[in-house]
Amino acid sequence: MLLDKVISDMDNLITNFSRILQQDEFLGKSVVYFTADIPVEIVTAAGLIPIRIPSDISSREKNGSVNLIIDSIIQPFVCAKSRHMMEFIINNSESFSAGIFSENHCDSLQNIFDLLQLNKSLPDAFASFRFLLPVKRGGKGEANYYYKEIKRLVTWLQDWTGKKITYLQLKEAINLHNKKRTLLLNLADLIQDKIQEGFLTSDLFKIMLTVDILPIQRGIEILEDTFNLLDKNPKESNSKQNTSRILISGSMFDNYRLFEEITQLNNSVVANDLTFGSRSNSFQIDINSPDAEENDTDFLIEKIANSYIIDRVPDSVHHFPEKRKEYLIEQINKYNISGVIFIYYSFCDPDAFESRNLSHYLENTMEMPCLTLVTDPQLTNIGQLTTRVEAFIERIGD
Amino acid sequence: MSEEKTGKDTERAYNKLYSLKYKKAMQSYYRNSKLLPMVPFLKKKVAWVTSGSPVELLVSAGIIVLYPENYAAILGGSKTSVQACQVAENEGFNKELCSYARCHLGTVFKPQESLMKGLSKPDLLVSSNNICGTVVKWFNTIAEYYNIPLFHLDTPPITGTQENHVFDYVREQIDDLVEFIETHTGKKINHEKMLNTFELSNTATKLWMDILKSCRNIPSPLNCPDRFITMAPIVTQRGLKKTIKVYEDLLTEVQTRVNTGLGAIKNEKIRLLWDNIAIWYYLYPFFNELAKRGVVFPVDTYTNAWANPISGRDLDSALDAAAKVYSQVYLNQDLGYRIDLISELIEEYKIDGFVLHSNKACKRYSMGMLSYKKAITDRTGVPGVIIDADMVDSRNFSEEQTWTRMESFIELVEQVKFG
Repeated sequence: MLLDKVISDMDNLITNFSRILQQDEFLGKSVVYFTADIPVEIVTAAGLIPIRIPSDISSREKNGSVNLIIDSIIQPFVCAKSRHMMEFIINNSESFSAGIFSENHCDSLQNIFDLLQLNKSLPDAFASFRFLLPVKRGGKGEANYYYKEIKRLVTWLQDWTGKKITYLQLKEAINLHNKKRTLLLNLADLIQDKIQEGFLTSDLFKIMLTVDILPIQRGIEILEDTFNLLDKNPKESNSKQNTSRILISGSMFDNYRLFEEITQLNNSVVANDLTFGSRSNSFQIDINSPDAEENDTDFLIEKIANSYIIDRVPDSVHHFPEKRKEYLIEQINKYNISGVIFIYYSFCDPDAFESRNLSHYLENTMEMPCLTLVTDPQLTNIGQLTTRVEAFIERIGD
Repeated sequence: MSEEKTGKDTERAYNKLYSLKYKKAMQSYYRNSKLLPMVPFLKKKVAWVTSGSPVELLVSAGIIVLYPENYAAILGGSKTSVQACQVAENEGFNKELCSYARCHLGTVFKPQESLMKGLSKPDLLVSSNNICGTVVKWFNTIAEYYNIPLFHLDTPPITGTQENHVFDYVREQIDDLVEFIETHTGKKINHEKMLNTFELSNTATKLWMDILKSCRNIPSPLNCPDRFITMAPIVTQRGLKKTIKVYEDLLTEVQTRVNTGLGAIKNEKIRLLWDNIAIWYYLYPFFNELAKRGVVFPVDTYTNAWANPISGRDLDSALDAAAKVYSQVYLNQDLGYRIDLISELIEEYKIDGFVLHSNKACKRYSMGMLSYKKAITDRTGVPGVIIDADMVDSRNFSEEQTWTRMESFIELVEQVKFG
């Protein structure tokens, strides 16, 4: 298989995902979710496919007036990503079997499930679970609470599918997701220092998004194929060493077309601090400790809870600013970053606060050039973004 | 714009309240919050809290408690909020953010240019996401700016009934909050005092509930602006003896009004419900203009938010009750609860129509309005209208558009009621 083919397949998968969802392998198994706080290992262990909706999925094929429907449900001052996800769920509700709603992630998601129900946007057969997240992170109290919330999810899944989630299934699911995370990190490492000819930052982002909407085994195969193709690829360019080194940060930002449209970003972004990127991938669930007892499912759940709540890299919604600063400084030093771009979707309150506070901090204490971009999932202001990014890269170069 | 709608004309369509204890209570509250921390031997600490924080614990520890939200509302009422918002915007805060947050942060950055020269500087902060998620980042920003400790009470939302493990999680944090307060004041909180503070808070809350319920009468003894203004002590001074006196006094006047058939407005014809925070900079022009047309608002969801008493036989059960009550805040419940509550209020208060304020500055309160408006009308048969505004940022408010909507809505309600 050629690298070009892998990349064009990714493009095809994301663009035509509405249609792909109707394929046999997804039928009766697809479970939609929308924040990285959901323990996908549990969904996989139940024999289902967890699907996180990326932006730029063409959801208008079925109904050209979707925007009008959304406007009649949610006000325009609600986060653009939240509106986009709701639009996708409404358009594809027949293709999903269930949804896990982590609404208290932020105010723009808080009422999403109720709104779908009130507007009769979900078919009768659609099963739903409201996962009540802890908003705090890092402590044992919240990890313990999250553990109990996972147990509630397990019970719900078992009742809904009529099948017990066994120790072995959960162990295998954890191992698969650990493997996927490792491969994603390795892939990112491979391109961070040198441009791999034929494989750009936009392609890496494309792959990161795609493996979140496919069955886990297929995702792993794609990652392994890509890694092997790149590893064997003799053509490396060291041009990245001569360009600016940018860290891109922003919770929900997930539209790879930004990098396709702005060529300089493809050459400059060497690290990311994004929900679907490093924040989802930079941790492992260690289940091989000596205190592990065979067949103890609760032990595995406890490990998941600790990893998600204590071990994961800090994010903008849940962590105190000190933790975020520490993390970003570590990333800046590790990747020898020369500029940080904060990017968020319009009306995202947590990121609007964070980008202001962190950019002030980095500029004032480290003299780190920072740029904040605000857009929407469809990148409707791409022209303006391009101009600002170009000026920013020039500034760093100077 | 007509002069009538600016509220500048002298004709008064409402009956003024004579009970002024609430006003005096607020004046002395803000005065004391400035003076007491300056008296060295008192060693008074100042805490800034969100409106859904378990304030009784801080009051028991002798801490002066201040509410940035209340202060922002005052700035809105005094029409200085936009100027304060602009200070925050110049500091890099996006105009899309909550206007209470922007407005208050503006006064943090430039207190000298602010009303009352800003709030007294805090020693510690307590926030809770039971009212919204914005407070988490807002209070983080303050904590960073002053480099002071922050305690965040995390309250997962209520969807139907509260699961045991959710209650346990909140309850444990209440204990953590006690420890946090004791650590930062250097003193143990006296348990008896804590219980007594809950009792005082409870008594004031019950009086407030009686006052609200009296508006079921026709004519309604209070209108929205009356409640929006007199609610200040129940928000800011729960757990203090003098707050009870404020509401005893107000209840007496309200009961007299009921007994003598005196309404909040002079000629009550239509009764409406208000949902969401007030439009503080346009409070009187809005409600007084409607009062002239015989429109009164006997009930609203905003002032009802402080009508949940916390009672317990002993400290442990009082803290249990606090964990429950502070989880069950109106904005921490699902939309089903909201539809049920508004529908019940419509029936209890004999309401002819409802006004939903789609508040650009408050996603938690406003998101879903378009859908729940329909659900409430379907259930009750009572019409509703949505008006677009912002609680303290008047740049997001169009007077003409608001009145166009309100006028056609009143016509509709009149038609339904009087044929």
